[in-house]
Amino acid sequence: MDQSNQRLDFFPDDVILQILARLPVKALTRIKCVCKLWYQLASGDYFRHVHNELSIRNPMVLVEVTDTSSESRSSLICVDNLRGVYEFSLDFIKARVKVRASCNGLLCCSSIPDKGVYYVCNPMTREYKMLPRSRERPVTRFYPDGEATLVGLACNLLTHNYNVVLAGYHRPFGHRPERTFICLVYDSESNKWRKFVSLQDDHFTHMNRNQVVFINGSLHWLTGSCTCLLVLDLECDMWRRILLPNEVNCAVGNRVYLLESEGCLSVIQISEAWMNIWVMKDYEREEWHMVDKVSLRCIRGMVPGIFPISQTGEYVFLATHKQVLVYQLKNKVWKEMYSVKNSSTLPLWFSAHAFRSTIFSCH
Amino acid sequence: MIVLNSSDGATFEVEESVAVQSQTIKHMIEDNCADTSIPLPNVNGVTLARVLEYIKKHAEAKDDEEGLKSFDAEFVKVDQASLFEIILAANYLDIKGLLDLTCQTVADQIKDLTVEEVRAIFNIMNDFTPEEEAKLRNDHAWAFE
Repeated sequence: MDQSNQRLDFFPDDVILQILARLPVKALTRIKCVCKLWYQLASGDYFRHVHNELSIRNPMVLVEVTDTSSESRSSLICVDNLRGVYEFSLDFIKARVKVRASCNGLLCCSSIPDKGVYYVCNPMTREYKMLPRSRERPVTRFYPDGEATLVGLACNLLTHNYNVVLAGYHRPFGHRPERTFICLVYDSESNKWRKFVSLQDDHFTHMNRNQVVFINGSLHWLTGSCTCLLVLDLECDMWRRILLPNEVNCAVGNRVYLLESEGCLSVIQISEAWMNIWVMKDYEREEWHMVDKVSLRCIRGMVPGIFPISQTGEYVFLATHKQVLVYQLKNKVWKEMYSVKNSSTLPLWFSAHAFRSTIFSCH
Repeated sequence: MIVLNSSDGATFEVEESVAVQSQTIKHMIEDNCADTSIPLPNVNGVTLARVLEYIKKHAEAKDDEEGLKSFDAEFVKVDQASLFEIILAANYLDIKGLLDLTCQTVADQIKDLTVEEVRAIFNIMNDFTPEEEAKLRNDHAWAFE
């Protein structure tokens, strides 16, 4: 029998499913239309599960590249360790938006012209949903500037639900701001917002740039004061705090960032010469372990402007003013993944988010 | 040492510690069906030889990440028919790493193709009606550009 002319009559279904699950989302959307069987295999919970498990292995960085010299809309760049760099846009939303949070493949965006209007979208499948207005009046009572201080997106892959959280200090009429902290939570299952109020001891005025992580049913923010994480348990609408590792101090010259590392909370501390990576392997006991201490000697000149964005146990993505870099932890190699061509852009770290490609639907 | 028999009568000897990368073989050994040799009626000699090459390399060079990466890249540089045979063997023998590698390779090969080209490669009949197909293309027009 001539091997090279052999045509296979079929692949088992699970093999087809494994191949389809490894396609980039655009190709998947097209190629599943090959026949009814393939279309069916590419839908359903089992396929979503396999696709999701694979995408966890491939974290990415999403950056908004804005050309400040021209009026043209900004474009989004996605940097991926497997496939490199590719550009895409959010123009399918048909409105000018800014990305505020990213979680499990969905993005939460706020409208630039219409304050208080939020969207949730999957930039890979090009699905989007405009959220109903929260019950606040058009001029919101968030202090200091009417914009929510904390924004978070929580996408639960098991229940297929997501929540959007907007929280901030309340500005009562005519008085100095109290400790009243308002929290608005949107629930995709009910398509409604709920609101609850609590008291907060710390006064913080901003969340650390895009630093919010959804793990174990709770959203975690690193606030500007950097002493602890502010945690919202979405199952019971309760706030609490998690302390940062003892050794992490916020003295001048030390910067602290909150990321995720393979399903665990991670804090990255950058000093002049070192990048220390901490991971909370035991969430119940709230114990931190330093998993790596990286020398920053060979990128010494860039250290003041370098920001870690996303990571796995094997590599860390960082953004500077004009570049996205990746550091391989095992062989200690730095690589430039992307560099801005135009000189007049906002710093990349300003609008960089951890991201991964999923087929999570926002409906 | 374990003895494996391919569908076309070829015999291969391999260390048990290497062979158990195949969950199928591992279970056969555990269930004591492997006293003399293990028959593999679903895999021909040529393909089985290639699969053994893979699992031997992955057993001996386990910690050499860079070396394995370049080995894997070279390993899949074969014609499509052979690649498909290896996928079927990896699936039957339940060798996760090899299935992962070969499925990713096929996915990479087809990702830029049109629907018609993919049908030709996999010898698939289009069972959508023209109306159904038109609707699909319309709903996901951006993916067909």
